[in-house]
Amino acid sequence: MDKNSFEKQVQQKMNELRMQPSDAAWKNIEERIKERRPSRKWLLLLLLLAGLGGGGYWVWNNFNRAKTNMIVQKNVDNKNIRDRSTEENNKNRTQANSPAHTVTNEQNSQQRAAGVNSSTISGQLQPALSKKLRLPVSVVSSHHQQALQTKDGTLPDIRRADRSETGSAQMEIPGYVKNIAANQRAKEINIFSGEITGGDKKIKSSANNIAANKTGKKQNVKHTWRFGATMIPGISGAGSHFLALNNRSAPDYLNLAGSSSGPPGAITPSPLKASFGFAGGIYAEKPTGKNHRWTFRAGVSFISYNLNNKVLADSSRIPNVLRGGPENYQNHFGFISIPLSMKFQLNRSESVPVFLQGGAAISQLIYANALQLNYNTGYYYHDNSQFNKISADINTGAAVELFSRKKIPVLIGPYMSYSLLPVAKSGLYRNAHFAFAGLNISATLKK
Amino acid sequence: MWEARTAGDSPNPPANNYFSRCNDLPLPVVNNQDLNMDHKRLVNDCIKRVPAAQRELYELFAPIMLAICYRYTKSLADAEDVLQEGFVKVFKYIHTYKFDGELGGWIRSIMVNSALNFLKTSKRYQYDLSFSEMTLHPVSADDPAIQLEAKQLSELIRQLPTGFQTIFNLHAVEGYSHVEIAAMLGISDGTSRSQYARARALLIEWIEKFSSNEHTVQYGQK
Repeated sequence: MDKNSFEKQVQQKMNELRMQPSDAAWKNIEERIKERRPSRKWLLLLLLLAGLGGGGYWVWNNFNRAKTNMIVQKNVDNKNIRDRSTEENNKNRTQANSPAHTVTNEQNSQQRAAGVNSSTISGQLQPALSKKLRLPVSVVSSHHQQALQTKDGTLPDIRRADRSETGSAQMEIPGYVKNIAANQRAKEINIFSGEITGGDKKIKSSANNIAANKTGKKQNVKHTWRFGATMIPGISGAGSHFLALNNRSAPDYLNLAGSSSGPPGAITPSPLKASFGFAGGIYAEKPTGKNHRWTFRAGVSFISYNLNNKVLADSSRIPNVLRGGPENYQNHFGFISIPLSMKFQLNRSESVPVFLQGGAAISQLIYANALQLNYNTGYYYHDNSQFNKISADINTGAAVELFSRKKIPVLIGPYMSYSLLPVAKSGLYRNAHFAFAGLNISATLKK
Repeated sequence: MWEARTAGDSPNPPANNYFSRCNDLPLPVVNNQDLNMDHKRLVNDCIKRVPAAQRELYELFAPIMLAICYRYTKSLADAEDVLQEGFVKVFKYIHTYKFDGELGGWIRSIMVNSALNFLKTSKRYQYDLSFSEMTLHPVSADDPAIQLEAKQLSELIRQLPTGFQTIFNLHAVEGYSHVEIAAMLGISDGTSRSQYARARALLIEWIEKFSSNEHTVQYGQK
């Protein structure tokens, strides 16, 4: 006998063995491998997370923007001060060799504490500045030193003097001390009084800069992402064209067990009538284009299409329908959708802007309880495997924005969508496309 | 490693065995090319989660797989549990099957792994499965002719202590080497060899006794 013939015999015997499993085994396996529909709980959680994430981003974004604006404003102010200081400095220098005017920080502080505004300050400063003051070097702050820099960036002799005569050295700073005073005054104007006049004339450049700042801020707000929520109650239908929505009063053909009240010799399905539909979700949008008249919008939505048809009830085949006369059966379809759209502002009104919107969406079927019809027997039955799980829709609408000056403007207007792909690959919905029309109500959070 | 075994004296090609739902049914004659095409279609449909295809795959392989599971366990209920677990894995991971081997072999390896997992995790088997390090026991040179029927032999294998039973099944029936078995069970290959030698000796002794009617196997006792 061959080596290992025992093992070979065992292998051979064991491979011949067959055992029939019980019926319960397959049922258990089937139960476990059944494709699980995404739970609504998860869907809600997803929407909640998306909402929280969007809200968090919005808050974070606004906080950062506020900080940035503050810094930008400060920088612009400083720049104004510097520009103005330089101008005044030059002007003063070119003027007659009048005695330099100066004012100490202490004086400024006193005036500030007294609540004296710039015009008063400027009024009072003029005589004070006309005197030739002796300024202690220690009073000159680094900021003032910066102001003391000449246009070509070199420091005047004051520093050298400072180095040579440290401690209590006092010196005259003709011309430059005027600059300090002007600088300080400009600061007072911008920070304390809020007025844009400085000295005895208008500071046009500052006014221009403030206006520019405001515009910049506005542009900044317009360019950022905004978040919102939308809900579209309406009517949904399915048919070979969009007007399938208009078949609510179509006659009913009833089918049961091969009999038909439709055209003789053929089983005609009961028409699928339009019924209530709903879409709702969250979105993010961003104005684009030169004049901000275009807005790009992307989001996540839930869409519910409902269609009615009449069936003769047979409780053994259609659960939850009473036995007896004809009953309305509501066929539900639930989709999760990712819509992308562009919105165009038709008018230039800022108070009541009117928009035209158009876009496309890709959707995934997440549940359906719709009936299919067996054309041989006339029985309706459930078979979701026949439905297309993916739907591609196009949509359009118009909307008017209300409360546009408020923090949460509301966009309201008609909305229509049409599915490019048929509802099902075969059966009752083979040539049917979803159509939906409703009233779009969107609320956008904006700063 | 396990590979498709011939059906011995059976007039049908070995792969045809998959089409039989039990030993009593006649086996249809299908050539291998058709069979492969059929398996390919079946696998593709199962990847698409077509319920009918899943059912067909189950009905095709469940009888032989249940027999395998039965050899590793001590009761039919446990064997069905392993079968269910195995088929759930088959349907879950069927997209990973690359048609580089026989479909039956791929499913079989999943069943064996499921059986081992079951033995490791089930409290009833944990004690029996504890392998103590043993001195190397030489494999007996005896190669007696087995006069028993497949079912009788299967019952005898199931009478072995669980450790012996598992290693015997893995080495003698599935064709795994002792190194592979050692890795699968987390033991040394020496222990695997020793346990196998003892299991083999015990089984040969029982077969001889059974053949001479000195030993009676109680079917379905455990």
